[in-house]
Amino acid sequence: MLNEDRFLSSLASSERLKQEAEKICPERKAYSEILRVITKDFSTAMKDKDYASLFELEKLAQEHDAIYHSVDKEKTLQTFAAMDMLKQQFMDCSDPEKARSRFIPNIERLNMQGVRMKDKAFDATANSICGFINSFKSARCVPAENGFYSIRSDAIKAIQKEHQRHIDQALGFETKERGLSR
Amino acid sequence: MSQAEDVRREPYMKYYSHEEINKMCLKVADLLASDKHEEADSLLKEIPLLPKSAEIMKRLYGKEHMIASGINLYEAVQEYGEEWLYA
Repeated sequence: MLNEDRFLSSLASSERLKQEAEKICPERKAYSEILRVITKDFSTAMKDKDYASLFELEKLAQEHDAIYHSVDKEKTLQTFAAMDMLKQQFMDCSDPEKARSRFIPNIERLNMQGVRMKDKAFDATANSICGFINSFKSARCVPAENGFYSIRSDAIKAIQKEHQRHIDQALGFETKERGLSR
Repeated sequence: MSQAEDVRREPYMKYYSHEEINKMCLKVADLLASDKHEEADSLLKEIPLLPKSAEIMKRLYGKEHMIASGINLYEAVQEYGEEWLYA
C-alpha cells in the first residue's frame, strides 16, 4: 500500500542531500564551474558572430554527448547528419550567388517576386536539433548543465537567424527587424 | 607545418593516479574560474584524456593533430593499445 508521507519525505530528504552535496562536494562545484566556462565559449562565439566556431563547438559537444550521455543512438545519429546538412546549407547560402541560384529559379517559376523566402527545411532541421539538445535538460540537472544546453540551443537559433539574413540579403529583401540597418 | 607539429611528434603519455587526476581537475576549475586560461590549458594537457574523448579527437582531427597537441594520451593507449595511436 502506498505511503504518500514516506514517499514525499524521502524525496524531500534526497533534495536536502543534493543541495548539501552541491555545497560541500568540491568536485560538484568544479564540474559546474567547468561547464560555465565552456558555456561562455558558446556565448563569446555568438557575440562575435563566429558561426564557424559555433558549428565546431556544437559538433564537439554532440560527439561528447553521444559517447557519455546519449541513450537514443538512432536519434543521435540523425542529429549528426542534421548538423552536417545545416552547416552545408549555411555555408552555401553565405555565398549570395549560391543563395540566389537556389531560390530564384523557383521564385520566377511561381511568379513570387517580392515575397520573402524562408528556408523551411533549414528551420525544421534547426528546430529538431534544438529539440534534441533540449532533451538533455531536466529539472534534476544542476543549473550549469541546463545553462550549457540552453546556450547550445540559442547558438542554433543564432545560426538560423544568420542563415535567414544571408537569404534576405542575397535576394535583395530588406527587413525591418531590430538591429538591421536600412 | 604548424608550430605544434614541429614541437611534438611523439605522443605524450604520463601516468597519474586517480587522486592526482582528481586534484588536477579541481585545479583546472579554479584556474578557469580565476580567468587563468593559459595555466588551465597547460594543466588540461597534463590530465590524461579520457579514452573515448581521445577517440573523438583522433577521428575528427586526425592522429597527427592528436599527437601534436601534446595532450596526455596515457589512458587512451592503456585502453586501446599503442597501435591505436598510429592506426
